[in-house]
Amino acid sequence: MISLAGYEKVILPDIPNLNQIAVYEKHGGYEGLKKAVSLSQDDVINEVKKSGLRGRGGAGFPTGLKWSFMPKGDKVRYLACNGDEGEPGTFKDRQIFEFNPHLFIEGTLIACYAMGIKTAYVYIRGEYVKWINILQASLDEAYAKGYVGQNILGKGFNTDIVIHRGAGAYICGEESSLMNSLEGKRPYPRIKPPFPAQVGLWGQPTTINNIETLANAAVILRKGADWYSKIGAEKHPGPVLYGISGHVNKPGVYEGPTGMSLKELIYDVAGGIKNGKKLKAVIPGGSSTPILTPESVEKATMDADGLRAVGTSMGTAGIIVMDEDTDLVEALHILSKFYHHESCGQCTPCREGTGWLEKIVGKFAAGTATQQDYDLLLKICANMEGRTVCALADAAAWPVRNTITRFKEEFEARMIENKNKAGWDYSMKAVSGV
Amino acid sequence: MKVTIDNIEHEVNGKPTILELASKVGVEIPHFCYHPGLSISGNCRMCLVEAGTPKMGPNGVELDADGKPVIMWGPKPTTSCSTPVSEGMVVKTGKTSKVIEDAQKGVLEFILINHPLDCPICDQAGECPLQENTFKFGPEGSRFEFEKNHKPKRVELGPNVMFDAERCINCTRCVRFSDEVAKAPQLTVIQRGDHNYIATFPGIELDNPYAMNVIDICPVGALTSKHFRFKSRVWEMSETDTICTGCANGCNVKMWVKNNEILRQTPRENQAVNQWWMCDEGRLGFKSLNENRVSGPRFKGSELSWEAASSQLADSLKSVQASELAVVVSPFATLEDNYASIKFFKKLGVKTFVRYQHVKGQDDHLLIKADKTPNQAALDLLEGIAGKFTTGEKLAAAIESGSIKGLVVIEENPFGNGLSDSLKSKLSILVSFSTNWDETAKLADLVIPAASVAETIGTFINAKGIIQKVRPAKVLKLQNRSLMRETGLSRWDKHAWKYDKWAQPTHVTDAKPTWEVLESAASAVGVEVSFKSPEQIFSKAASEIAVLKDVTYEKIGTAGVQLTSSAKTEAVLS
Amino acid sequence: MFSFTKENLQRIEAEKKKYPTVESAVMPVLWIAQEQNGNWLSEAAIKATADVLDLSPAHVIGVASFYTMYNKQPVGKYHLQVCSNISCSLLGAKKLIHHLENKLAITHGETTQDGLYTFSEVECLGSCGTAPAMQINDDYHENLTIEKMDELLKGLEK
Ligand SMILES: Cc1cc2nc3c(=O)[nH]c(=O)nc-3n(C[C@H](O)[C@H](O)[C@H](O)COP(=O)(O)O)c2cc1C
Ligand code: SF4
Ligand code: FES
Repeated sequence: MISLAGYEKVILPDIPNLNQIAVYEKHGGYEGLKKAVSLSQDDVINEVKKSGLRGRGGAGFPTGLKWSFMPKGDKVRYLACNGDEGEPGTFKDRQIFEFNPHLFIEGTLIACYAMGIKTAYVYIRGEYVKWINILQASLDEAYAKGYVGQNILGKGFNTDIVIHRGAGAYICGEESSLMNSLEGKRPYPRIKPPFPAQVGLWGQPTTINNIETLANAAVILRKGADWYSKIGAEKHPGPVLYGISGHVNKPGVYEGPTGMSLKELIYDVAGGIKNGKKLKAVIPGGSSTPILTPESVEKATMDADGLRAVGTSMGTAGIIVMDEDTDLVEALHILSKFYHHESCGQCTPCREGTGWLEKIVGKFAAGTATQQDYDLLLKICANMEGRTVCALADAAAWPVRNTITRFKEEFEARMIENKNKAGWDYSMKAVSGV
Repeated sequence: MKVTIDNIEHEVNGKPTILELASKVGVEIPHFCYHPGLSISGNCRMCLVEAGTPKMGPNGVELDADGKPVIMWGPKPTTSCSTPVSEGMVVKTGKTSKVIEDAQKGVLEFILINHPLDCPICDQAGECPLQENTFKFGPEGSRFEFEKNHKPKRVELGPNVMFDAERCINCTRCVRFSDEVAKAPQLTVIQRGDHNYIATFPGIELDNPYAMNVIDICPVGALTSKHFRFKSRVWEMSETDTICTGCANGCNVKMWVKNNEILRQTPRENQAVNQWWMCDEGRLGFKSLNENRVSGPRFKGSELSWEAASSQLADSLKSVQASELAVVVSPFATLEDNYASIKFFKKLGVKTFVRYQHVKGQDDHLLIKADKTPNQAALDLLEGIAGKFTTGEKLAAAIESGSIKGLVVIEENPFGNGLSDSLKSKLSILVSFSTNWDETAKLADLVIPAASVAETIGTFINAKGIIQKVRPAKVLKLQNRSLMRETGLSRWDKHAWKYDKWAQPTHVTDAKPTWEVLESAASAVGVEVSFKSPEQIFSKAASEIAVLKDVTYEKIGTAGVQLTSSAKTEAVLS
Repeated sequence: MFSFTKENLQRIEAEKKKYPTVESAVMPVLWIAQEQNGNWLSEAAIKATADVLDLSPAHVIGVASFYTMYNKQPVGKYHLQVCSNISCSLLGAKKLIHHLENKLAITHGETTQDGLYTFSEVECLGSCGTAPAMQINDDYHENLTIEKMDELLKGLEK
């Protein structure tokens, strides 16, 4: 059993003022970078591969492998650091910006060194003005100390880090949309292939990594891949930031090893369900990941395999906890409205399907839905999944498909046929409140 | 490379996309956003196929029990418009794959949920890819039971283009065309999700010289022509494959005619000439073919019969010495009319042949040529027969000095192009073969109405030396539409029986091709010529002009023939 | 009419240098334009952005209209942006929104008569762990209750 007991925090350690470079340096800061530049580029990539680190942005792609896709040679290439953090239930990257910005900067520099990148862009969602300012201040310090810019650590390697502010669009977190946004285009996701490692930003080879992923890279170089790979789940190792929100007594971001049991996270780490209520449902990895019933929560561990076993995935490790009073129909309605609002609108199935789903889920919320509507929801999902340029359409369909099948009775109870049987109050019911 | 589509193997050269290959080998894959002349956007999701590639083992391609390659299928359908084929690829379209059939049904259902379904009042109906694809691949009905999204309607995007945002399916063809082809980025998609639609910046018009092409490439009725809106259903018009004569580019077009009136012109694909496009000025240039036409011969203001006109022509020509007669040939007229005129008047003893230039501005990056005439290159060839052409200035001087006393104008307008009206009084006769009531026709003693490019057959040579043919889209008085072999027919002409046809024989011009009128006057002036048909005249010309030697009407067809590069300077054979 | 101040033109030059193409500076320049224009983007401000970057105005309005944070209408002195997404709603965001709407007598996208407040219901702000949350202009206010919200508004009135 993997547990928080005895775990030593490395991403967000309890050290005051760690955002100041002197404090950071005192606690082993930039040692990982120094280690990296003493190795060859390939050795750095191999170290990351060996660590078993998988992306923390949602898709969980092995980071070392991703870095190795970058072509060799002296073509101009870029790193895009994904701090768009738009997935509902996800609020971890802002903690890194606030409490350990240099760890992220260090990881970014290591990535740039390993892949021969001279410019990294940090794409941060537009709302995060406060965190942009914190990061900029830390970045200025790092420039002043010679960690960023020209001839870093006297090793003749140059990298600039540029912060780019978003402006309110969830889709910009999708990597190819992010690239179009950075290029000043309408941020439509791009068709793949070609993949970013061939044709990315401004047509050049590009790697995109999540902020937390890059912070982890710094830890790997500082502590070594062997140390790192022993933390947490064997096939999905490392420290991870769990964001726990909803009906728990102590919501927040908690660092722990991967592979922790979902139960420990909810009941111990986050202090259990508010007001002593019972658990109804948990979304384990941000709003797009399939929802879990209490029976599945019992069994689930927070790593790729553990979550696959209960029919969901790790996503961003943003855990949304819902108590017994939660109106899941209304909850799904909120998510469907969100995806409808955020579809970029280029692909037919997503542009039209997201709105249609919201409307039908709205019928359930209003108590006017029928069995036909239920069946139709599943058919619309089937026509959206795997038919589009990016995964937003899937992300919109999965919550619908899984919520209405895993909590079928709750949706059936809201059908007009069952109106009298269930005795529901059909006025638009807000999700249970404070 | 070998690629299999729907169980049929094709040998492939190059690296086409699946969709390109399919259209080449005649397999239909429905699509909306893909256009061969634009970048790939892959957004409509209509062209989905299942694609698989052979599984590679340690010893090359792995084989199954039957000795056939094991195919690795992709995890989900792929867009054929954006996927290049590869060696051994196997593709299933909706014809052989239930997954794809359902996916395409799904896409069409999605497109239609917010589409107005106002086909009965939509201009595009009858030539609408959305309508056609829905018919062939779509669901039987809709399961959508909510109010549709509302968006702006009847938006004037520019002087020629109207927009209905509710019909728009966001394929972005028009945006890509404006950016990539017209190089005039006046359009964009605004907003996002199902609120998005096409717009210009407020106060800036979609007015680039190629703007109207967006109407043709719009796969629905969202973009329509201000000049054509609500004029006709598509199936009521005949469409004739011909060319635009608005400049020296000679863009290939279809002329659309109802009640013998041209209602619109649209470009016709010809990769060597105009790809898929044409300019707005050329497109709207048909108005002069409908209006202000000279109809019926006139002498000094009074109408004449055609017999009287041809004896009047003979009399007029005999009233001046051939050496004092000048003939203005025309870069607007067919090679055949020019050839026939030159032959006729040479035999009469005329020495002075005059040619005007019409150059305005500069060639642009795409199609528009500074030379506003369609057939200067033919006159270049005919110069060998006519002798060196005289310029307009020299003609004016000759009339002024009295050395030229009679003037015959073949489908040209010298008095609208620098020849002063006051010189008319120095001419004892002015004969004009005219299509329209221009300055020259108005001044002329004898006006012979000439068939326009929309009513005749003949050849034009464009700036690149490509010889092409105009074909009659309209009939002249005394002609029967269905007897004119080259005239395009409407779906009514072809499929309806006579009581279904309510086309009216209006808008008919009483005119004749110039060669025909010359032939009719020949014996009266004592000239021996035999002009029987444009094709016969062309073959006579071809026998005299080296570069045309192997060219025939049949070879020219509807796509044209590239003459050898020496076309312009080629010497006359005889 | 809108024209960039001299100081902002200098900032724009600095933004342009951050990217390999001028087009890429469109978002930062729109931010500058919005700031100079009193927290919203008028057509003139968008046109000025296009001109200063030598882009087509159509393209720039296409970009600007995609994002929710570029305001296409004037907004009040205080832009109250309340998250109504899942985690905030689980903890009472809808009640907060009702309260705010009643109190200010405006709904989503509207501005009070006095021009002080604009209310917008927004998607997840990334404050799920400190829900419910809202942004007043650029500042986050988290762990909201109705009382806390009243308190905040009182503070603004001064
Ligand atoms: C609709 C959509 C939204 C996304 N939003 C984010 C985001 O906000 N932040 C993020 O890091 N990744 C996001 N992703 C995932 C990225 O596309 C990409 O996989 C990730 O940034 C790669 O980084 P990693 O390998 O380090 O995880 C999103 C993906 C999709 C389909
Ligand atoms: S799936 Fe949706 S969000 Fe993604 S590219 Fe297509 S329309 Fe845009
Ligand atoms: S034609 Fe391929 S996606 Fe539209």
